[in-house]
Amino acid sequence: MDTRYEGPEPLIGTNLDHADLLRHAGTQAQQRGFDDVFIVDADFHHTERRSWAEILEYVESDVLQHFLKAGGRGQMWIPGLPDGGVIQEVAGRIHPAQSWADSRNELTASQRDVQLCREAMDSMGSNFLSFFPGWLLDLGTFGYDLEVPLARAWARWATERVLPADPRIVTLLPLPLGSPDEALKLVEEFADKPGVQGFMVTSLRYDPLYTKPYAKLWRAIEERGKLLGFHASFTTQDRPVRQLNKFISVHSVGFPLFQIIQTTNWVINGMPERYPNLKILMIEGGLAWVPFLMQRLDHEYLMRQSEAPLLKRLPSEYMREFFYTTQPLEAANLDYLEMTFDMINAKTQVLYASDWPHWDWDPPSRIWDLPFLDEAEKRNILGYNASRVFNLPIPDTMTQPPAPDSVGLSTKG
Amino acid sequence: MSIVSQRTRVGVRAEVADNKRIMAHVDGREIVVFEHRGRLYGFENLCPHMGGPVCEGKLAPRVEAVLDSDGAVIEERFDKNEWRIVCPWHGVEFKIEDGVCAADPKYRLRRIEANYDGDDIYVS
Repeated sequence: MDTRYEGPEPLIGTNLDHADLLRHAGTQAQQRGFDDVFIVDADFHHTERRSWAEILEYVESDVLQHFLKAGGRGQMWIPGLPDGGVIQEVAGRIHPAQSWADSRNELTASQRDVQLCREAMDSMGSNFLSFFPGWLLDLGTFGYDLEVPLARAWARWATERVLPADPRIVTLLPLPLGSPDEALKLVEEFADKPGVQGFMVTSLRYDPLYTKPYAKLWRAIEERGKLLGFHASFTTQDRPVRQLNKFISVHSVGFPLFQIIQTTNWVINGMPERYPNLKILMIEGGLAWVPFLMQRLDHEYLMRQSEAPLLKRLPSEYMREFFYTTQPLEAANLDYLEMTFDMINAKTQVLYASDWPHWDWDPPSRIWDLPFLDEAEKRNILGYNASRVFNLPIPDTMTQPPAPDSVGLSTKG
Repeated sequence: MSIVSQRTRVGVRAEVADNKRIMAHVDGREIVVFEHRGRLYGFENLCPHMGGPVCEGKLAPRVEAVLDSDGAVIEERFDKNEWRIVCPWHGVEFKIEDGVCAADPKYRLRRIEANYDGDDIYVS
């Protein structure tokens, strides 16, 4: 048997241009009439590698800036940062992140990121997108006391170089939770910047977010009417996941695992009662884990209520007031997915997200084509829910949502 | 039944040489023709998974795991008797012999007959 693969094998995909790779998404948008469907992409990423020199300009310590520049020798470098890119793209089989990395070399880094955002929005038919980091999602796991300076640098770079360039680009700024005081300072300093619709926790972290040092932080975000997102991530290093030998296993388990841990701590410690007006958005964990956790927590709470004295309702009732992004939509069995949507009350609590340009991204057609949703539910999930949660305006020229009481909207939204 | 209504010339032999591929619009559909190991293959360039430009992705051989008599994995290796075209959007793999998805046969590419006529290439 001939088993050697000489590679690279015949393809015309190697040099796929970013806009060209998305042209089928443009066709889908046109076929479905998305020019009259308000769409918000609640999770969209840039790749810091090409923007790194610009971001480092905003590192406030000269010594640290010099350290990171020198260590990288002209490339992006963060001590201890793993490089899983090739694995994520299934050994080069998947192209979105590659097309993003290779595109628009003639522009400056931030101009390029803005242009790629515009191309994606224009192709998919999105009206807004929520712009997130890639590698810096995991800044809470870096050593060398990098969390605070890099969180501040990214916040300054994004709010000075990216968000002002296009009002359709908004963000939830990553919080440096290793220092609650610095996280609070970041909220106070950046909450009113245009395009900052809230703040973000990467779920892969180990801080007890329900404890006293963080209380002022959550209150500050709540009082400002901002959104708090928990963005999923994964690690190959924690002892329970070290035995997972394939990326499919690490990714399938890791993203929901840390969403489950953060949601459990948030609910069981009564955070929804302590911060009743703080909107919570769970990002990029998919949806299938939510019904599991609802059932599991309700089951145990009936027998161990004394361990969760702040709760006044079943855990699942609090979880039904969280918001969830769709991607990656586990749609292999539509009957299961329909049940999941029903349990989450998706028509008011779920927000479309693409996760472009990551390997498991979803175009808006993924939602529009679901056979068990009516058009009003599709419009809610694609954009109207995000309009409420992110506080984003719907253009007057587009079809407007029905009155809130006619669709049973949660007052928490 | 073919999705192409009539025999249509889409290119010439040189356009599929050196691993190049022909993209053409026939009857309002985007189709791609390529040659692999001396044989022509034609498919609609539309992934049934999420609509990606499937025929612009890589060609890759099937990966297989080899077990010993005790059930232990000896190695993983490429089986070059089975080639797949991989959608560049999400990596879904389709066998080029029949267009069937390797992971779930409910997904299937739309095949188009592609043949040489001299140096010309026709689909039908």
